This record gives sequence, structure tokens and C-alpha cells, in this order.
Amino acid sequence: MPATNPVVFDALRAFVREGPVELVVRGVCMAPRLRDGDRVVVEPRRRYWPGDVVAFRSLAGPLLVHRLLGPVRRTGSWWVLAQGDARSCPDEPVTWDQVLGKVRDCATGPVTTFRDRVGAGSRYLRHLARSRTGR
Amino acid sequence: MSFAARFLALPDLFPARPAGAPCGDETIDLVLPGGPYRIQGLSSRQSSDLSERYGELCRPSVARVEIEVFEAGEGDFVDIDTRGWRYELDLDHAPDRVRIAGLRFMAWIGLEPRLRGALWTSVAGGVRWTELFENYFRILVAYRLLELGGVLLHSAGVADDEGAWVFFGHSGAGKTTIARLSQESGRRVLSDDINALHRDGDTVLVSKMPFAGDLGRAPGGFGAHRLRGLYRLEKGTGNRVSPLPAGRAVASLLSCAPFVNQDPHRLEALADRLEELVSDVSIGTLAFDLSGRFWSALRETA
Repeated sequence: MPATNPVVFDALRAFVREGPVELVVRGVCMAPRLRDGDRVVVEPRRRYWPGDVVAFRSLAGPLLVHRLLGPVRRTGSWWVLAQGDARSCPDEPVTWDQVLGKVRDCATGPVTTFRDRVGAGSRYLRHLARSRTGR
Repeated sequence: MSFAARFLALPDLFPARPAGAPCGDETIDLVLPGGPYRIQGLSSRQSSDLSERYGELCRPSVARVEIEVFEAGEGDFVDIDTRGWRYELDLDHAPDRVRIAGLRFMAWIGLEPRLRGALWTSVAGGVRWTELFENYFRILVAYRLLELGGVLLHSAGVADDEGAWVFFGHSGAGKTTIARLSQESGRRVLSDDINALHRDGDTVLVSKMPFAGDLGRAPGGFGAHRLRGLYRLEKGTGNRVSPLPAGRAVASLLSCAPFVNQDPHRLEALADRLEELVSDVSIGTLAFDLSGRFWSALRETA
């Protein structure tokens, strides 16, 4: 997926603040909940919770739609840790200003269930444990 | 409600490809930015109605975009009581095409391998025909301009001998007011509603579109003008131009680029095109009052 130019990302973020925006999911990172070509509606939130599916600009540039695991401390501030449901490890953390918004539940069903939140929480704790032990 | 269910009797039978019985064998060419556009399969009444509606824009040309018009039965459409009805369309976006359903028509814009259109309607002519055609055609033009690196923009366009200025903003931002003030100062209003921004090499041009607002309905003036400046409108107590950061500029333009800004498959491409546009032209925020003195502020910055 092509990298999103920072200016374009800022514009998209401002655009999302004006109202929900529809995006197309590319890839299978969020399978089986979201599949390649699925359309999702992204809206800004004041608060995000572990298990929410969020759209954000990854460190490498492309926009990703992955599940939020939780906050991590980096260079003196809190960053966002997320992971695709079908991925084996979390993405590189990003700053909060790289988060475009939260994905709304689709017509086909909720994108986040209680089970997803528990799963995100357990992945988050596993990540913290690994970070501490350095493994 | 699923796509087209409020307009079509059998939405599942929406044509999968541009095929059917043409309304007639007449053709007209419309010379507009992104075109010329050839509309074929018209009945003689539909053709003469479009010729009357678009006047000097209708002239034989080498078409770059083709639109086919097919006949549909009255029974294909839901009978809608239009008293007090606000005009709406249903759009369904896909990577390679857009489907559109509206009052007594269904239409398709193919985007790959090249842009082309198809329209099915039961309306044989008259104002209902020209209105429905225009409601479809402006969407097609928006996609065509995007394909060519331009954009159809909700804006007021004003031209003089030096070029054109474009003022954009939401409804109520002051587009009609600034167009009227400009007209009073002897400048030509291209449109106070919608204008085309398109490119000729590195030069950004502005053209009046036939989908003009209240002002700009005067005949003629369809030539392209070099864009001198692009300004987001802000009502104020004085007249001043302030800088508009690129991200904010693109975001504001995104919300003023109708039709294509609702397409999830092309939103990022649209933002990319707008970012290129913003880096190539003079852009800012214009606060203005009703004195008409904002032109001095513009001249200082353009």
C-alpha cells in the first residue's frame, strides 16, 4: 500500500473531524473480521479503548486499520500500540496524532466484541511482559 | 436500505454492463474541461433539449469520453411523489466503477480501463430529462477531472483580464456574496456554485461549468483562465488574507470536492491531487466584509 504523505494525512484527519469518512480495507491483517476490499467508516473519538479498531498512519507511511492494544511509553510520552488480528506481533507504536479515528461497527456486524477486547488486553499484557524480559 | 432500493423497482437487476436499446440514434458532443464528451443514443427530442440547454458547448469534436443513453421502461422505477422532495441520489462505489440511481434513471461510470458512462432512463425529454442528465453528468465530470489531476470544486470563480480567483467554502461561507461584490467591481463571475480546476502542463486553469449557481448563468465565458489564487472564505469584520497551512488547505478543499470525496476507493488519490494543487498555487484564507475592498488585500498577496 502506498505511503500516505504527511500533508495528506493531516488533511484526512481534519476531514474526518468534520464527519465520518469511508475507507477501503486492503490486505488480510484483520481477517476474518475485516477482509480485503471491505469498506469501513472511520470517525474521530476523544477516547479510545483496548480492542477498538482504529485507522492510523503507520511509521512506514501507509494507513493501517488494526486493533488497538493499549498505550506504551516512548521517549517520555504515551504512544499507541496496535496489531492486526491476523498478525503474530504488534505494529511499531505510533503517536496519538497519527490516529485517524475509530472504525464503526459494519452493517455485517460489530468489529469489536467483548471477546476482541479480552484478546486485545491479553496481547497487550503479553507485549508488556516481553518488553520487560527483553524477549 | 440497500443501493437503489428507493429508486428502482428491481434494484438487483441494475445493469451489469452498459448495454440496452438506445433511446435514438442522435449524438451530441459537449466541449468542457476533461472532454470533449460524446453523448450518444439520444432521441431527437433529448438531443435538441441538451443542445438548447448547453448552447455553445455543443459542437462536433473528437470525443475523449463517451456516454451512452439507453431506454428504460417506466416500470423499472419506483413512482416517487416529488412534492416537497429534496433531490437525492444513491451512489455505489467500486474500484473500477460507480453506480448511480436517481429519480427515473440509473447510471454507471466505468473507470477502467478508460472512463466512460452509461445512462438508462424512461424520461423522453423536457426539463426532467435535462435535469436528470445534468445530475449524472456532473458526477462523471468530477471523476474525469480527478483522473486528469483536476477537481470540480464547490466555489465562486471570478475572472478578469489577468486570470481567475477561486473562493471556496461550505454553504453560507459567502461564495455568492463575494461573487456579487466582484461583479459589482466589474469582474466576470464564472460561477458562484461550482467551478472546474484543471491542468495544462504545470499551469492550473479555472473554467466555468454549465452547472452554474445563481450568478454565472449569463451565456458564454466558458474559456479557461489561469488560476491566480485559491482562497478559503471566512466572514470577518475587515479584509485580510492569512496563510492556510497545507494540511488544512487540503482538508478544506476535500470537503468542497463533491461526489469524489464520498468515494472510499479514491479519497486518498483525491487528497494527493489536492496536495499537488495546493503546492502549485497561491492559497490562503480570506476574511472579507461587504465593502468590496478585499480585492486590494488579494492583489498584495497574489
